[in-house]
Amino acid sequence: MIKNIKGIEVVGISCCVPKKKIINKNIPNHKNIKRIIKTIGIESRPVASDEICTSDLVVKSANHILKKLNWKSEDIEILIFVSQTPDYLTPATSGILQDKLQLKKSTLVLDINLGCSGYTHGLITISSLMKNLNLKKGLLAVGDVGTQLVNKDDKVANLLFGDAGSVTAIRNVKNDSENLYCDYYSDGAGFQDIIVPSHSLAGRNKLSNRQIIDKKDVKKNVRSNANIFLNGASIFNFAINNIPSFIQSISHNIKNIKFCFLHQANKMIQDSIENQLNKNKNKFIFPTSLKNFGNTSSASIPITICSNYANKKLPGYSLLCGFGVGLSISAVVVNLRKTKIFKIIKL
Amino acid sequence: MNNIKKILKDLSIILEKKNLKETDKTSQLKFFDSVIILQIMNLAKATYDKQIDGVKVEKCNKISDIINLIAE
Repeated sequence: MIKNIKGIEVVGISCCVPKKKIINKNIPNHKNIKRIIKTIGIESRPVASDEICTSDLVVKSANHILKKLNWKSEDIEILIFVSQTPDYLTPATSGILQDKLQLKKSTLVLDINLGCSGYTHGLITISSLMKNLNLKKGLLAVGDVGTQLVNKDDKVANLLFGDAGSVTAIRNVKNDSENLYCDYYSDGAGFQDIIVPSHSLAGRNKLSNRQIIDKKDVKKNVRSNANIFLNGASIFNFAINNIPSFIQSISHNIKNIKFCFLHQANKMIQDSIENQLNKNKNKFIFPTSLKNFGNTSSASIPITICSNYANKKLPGYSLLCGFGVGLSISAVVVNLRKTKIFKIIKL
Repeated sequence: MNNIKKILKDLSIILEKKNLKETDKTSQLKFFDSVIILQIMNLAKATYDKQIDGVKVEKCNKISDIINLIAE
């Protein structure tokens, strides 16, 4: 069921990616690479060096947006950080960000552990908290250095991910015409479909020396339990069988949706969802950023917005839909006509 | 063109094999990897409105087994 959070304005969106770039076709010792690149639609990806943490990308992005919007750090009352590659398992990275950005100590800061649905889940969470606690200005920080979770000998996963950080500036306004509509869906039974099997400090999944030994699976992909595992077939079925109907039910209730920004998983999923939704007429515009950024996890929706519409306006409603790890889906419909969309910067 | 012939033609494009036959073995194809399996699942959904299980596709020994999965 669609919910409406009234009086929330997305003021600006900024993104930051690492300077280093990997060109997929140049990856050595990879059979059939051209065919796989054509199918996934990813030609190059920004990749963080081992020294870069997610917070580094987010801090650069946050400083950029604060400066461009002329917002003072002391005016920020809430910061939410969404990632599946935080700087530490504990403490929360949002606290580190609070200090690095010199936000006041009364700022509400918290982390959310989510990946590809993280941006839209984050927008829903920050908007709800800002309304309920009457907070005026907030920052939603999302990002991942997902390439560091991938085993370089995992033939397909190693071609998918890009690294990025993004910050979205949110304002709580009195104008009730600024609506943020949202809907969400969770299916925890699929938790093993996208998983880092041993990424915990405690309990039976605790990271140990035994867990970091590389093993070859039946498809000859190599990974350890500290690497990310993707069950491609299950994720594919989850996405193409749930997302179109999920979006259709939203668009049935909210008119004037012009743009549909999907999480950028891969070209095949993007095309399948687009074809199902635009079956008989070109109802929505589906921008993409896969070709040069890959799957940037929680940052893929802002990366798609900033890479296609920097310094431009987005008229009409935009539907943003994240989906993936959990398994989870969430969508937000928001008017971005006044939103300042900044050019992607590099670290 | 009946459905089976059409599926065979669609599979020959995905598998990049001209004159693909129903009796051809998947083990003898140039490639039959996880990306091909996703492409077959996508074909089933997009063209034949059929949801098929990737594990079942992977277990197919012959092209006719894949056709049956899509056509049944």
